[in-house]
Amino acid sequence: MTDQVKEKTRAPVVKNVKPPKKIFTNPAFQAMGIPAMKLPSRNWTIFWLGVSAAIGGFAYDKYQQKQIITKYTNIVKPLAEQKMDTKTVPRKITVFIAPPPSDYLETSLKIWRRYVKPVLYYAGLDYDVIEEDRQGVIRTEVANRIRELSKNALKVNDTPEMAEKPKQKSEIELTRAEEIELGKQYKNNFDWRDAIGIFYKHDKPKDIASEDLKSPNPLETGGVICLGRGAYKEYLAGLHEGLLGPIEPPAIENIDEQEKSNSVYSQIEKTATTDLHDEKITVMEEQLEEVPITVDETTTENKSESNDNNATEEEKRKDEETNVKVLKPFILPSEYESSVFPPLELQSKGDIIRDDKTSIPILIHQPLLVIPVPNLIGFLAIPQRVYRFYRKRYMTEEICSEVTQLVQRDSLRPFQTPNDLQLAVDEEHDWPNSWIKQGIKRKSEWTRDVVVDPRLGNLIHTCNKPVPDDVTSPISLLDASSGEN
Amino acid sequence: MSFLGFGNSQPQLTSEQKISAAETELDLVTDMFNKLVDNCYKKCINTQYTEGELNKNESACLDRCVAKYFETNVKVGENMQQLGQTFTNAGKF
Repeated sequence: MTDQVKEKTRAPVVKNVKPPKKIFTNPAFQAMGIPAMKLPSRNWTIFWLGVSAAIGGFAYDKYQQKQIITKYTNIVKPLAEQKMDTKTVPRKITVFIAPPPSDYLETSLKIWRRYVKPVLYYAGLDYDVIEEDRQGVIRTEVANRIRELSKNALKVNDTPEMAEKPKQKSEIELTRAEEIELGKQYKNNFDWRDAIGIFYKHDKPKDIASEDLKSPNPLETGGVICLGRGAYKEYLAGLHEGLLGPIEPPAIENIDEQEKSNSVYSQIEKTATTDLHDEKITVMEEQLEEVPITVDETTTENKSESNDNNATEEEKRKDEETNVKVLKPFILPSEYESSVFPPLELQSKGDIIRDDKTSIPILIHQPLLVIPVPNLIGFLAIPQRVYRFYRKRYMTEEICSEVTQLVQRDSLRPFQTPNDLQLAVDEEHDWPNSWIKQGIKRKSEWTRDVVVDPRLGNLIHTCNKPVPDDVTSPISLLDASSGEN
Repeated sequence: MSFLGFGNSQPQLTSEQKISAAETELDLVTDMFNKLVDNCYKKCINTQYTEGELNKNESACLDRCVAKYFETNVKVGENMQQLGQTFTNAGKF
């Protein structure tokens, strides 16, 4: 008896008995072999909540981006629905795209493809994209365009009438080489429209004019978009180089000085190559590689160079054969003031310098838009990067609205010299410090201060938002501190 | 560079051969042209046909399409020729 009583009293005291799980089922489900459903455990709930929040945030952001892009493409669509004569060419926007430091061009191209191109496309505009794969490409391109103009102007002045060639040879006299030469000439002048297509029977259009010529105001022509702070810096440098610099590259000045600086540079190169093994930094290396030759103010190519310099030069020559040629600047920022503007060759053209073929005002007269390419890299920056990843819609809104403004030519304002030098300067906060230091060491044009000659600054118009007074470049601070050390 | 065999310097062709070469080339170009017109028409022209004239979007699209088509064609032609030369001269089309 006593034992039985004991057992009875013990039984309810037993601990660690879980209440049976709540199971939702139905005889019909069971008959079909569907297992009983139950609530997931606490941990699973947390996990699924986390995952869905992450994916949901991303999806929401994407959705909003699409909405924003659609909003702005709808704003510009009426422009594209206008009729256009077949003899006119649409307005052309020139786009300069530079990669962010220590990263690939693809990063900048993404911004171009996602946020800029749709707006331009739906506005029915033509665009000319100039991509940069190494420093100096954009500067060289801009400067070359202007120099080409000056050269043509000089040619016209020098030889108003070209000497005619009174060559009259009978066909029998033609040698093999001459025949090939003639063939080449024929091929160069050959126009398929003479042989095929609509213009075989109809007249060819003679005067194809650009839409840009409709308005006498140069502000209403074309447009320039610089994607990235570096592209902006190089664009400005290129304008100055073309308009203020000489047409031909300056001659070698002082050999002693060069040798000194060359030895300094070979040292820097050595240290640089030993320091950097990381793949990403080698990308940066490539970007900076030509700096001693293309950008530096005192160094020029010299035959009495050390061996490794020769080797790098050969590599560069190979590069130049395959890629766009990068020339070193023809003029230094310090020489801007002393040169004549407008250049003598172009003075006859009046206030507005126009292209000689299309007679569209050159880039400097066209409205400018600078779009930053925010690109944070590095392990420690991951929280910040995640934060940005989920807030891309704000960037979309900003970029799309600015591009729309450029398309509609709303709110254009003259370039203000001290403030607007810092356009897109936020991007510089993302630039890796090590890269900046290397750049300063090698006098890269990306890490130099932007210099704008007031005579040229007066011509530029921009549709960026005005820059507040207190914005400064982090590079100048870094530069100052490294200078003290 | 020669484009589709045009201006390619073969040793001592008779005028008949030259004419036949020119004819094949014209055929090729006509073919390419027709394809180009067809593709760019499909790509760029809106099939609603509400108006007879081109609008800006369409003409910009056509410009780009034709330019791209030509460039691709020239590049492909050049590569084909290089390939042909690496094999035999008979590899040319």
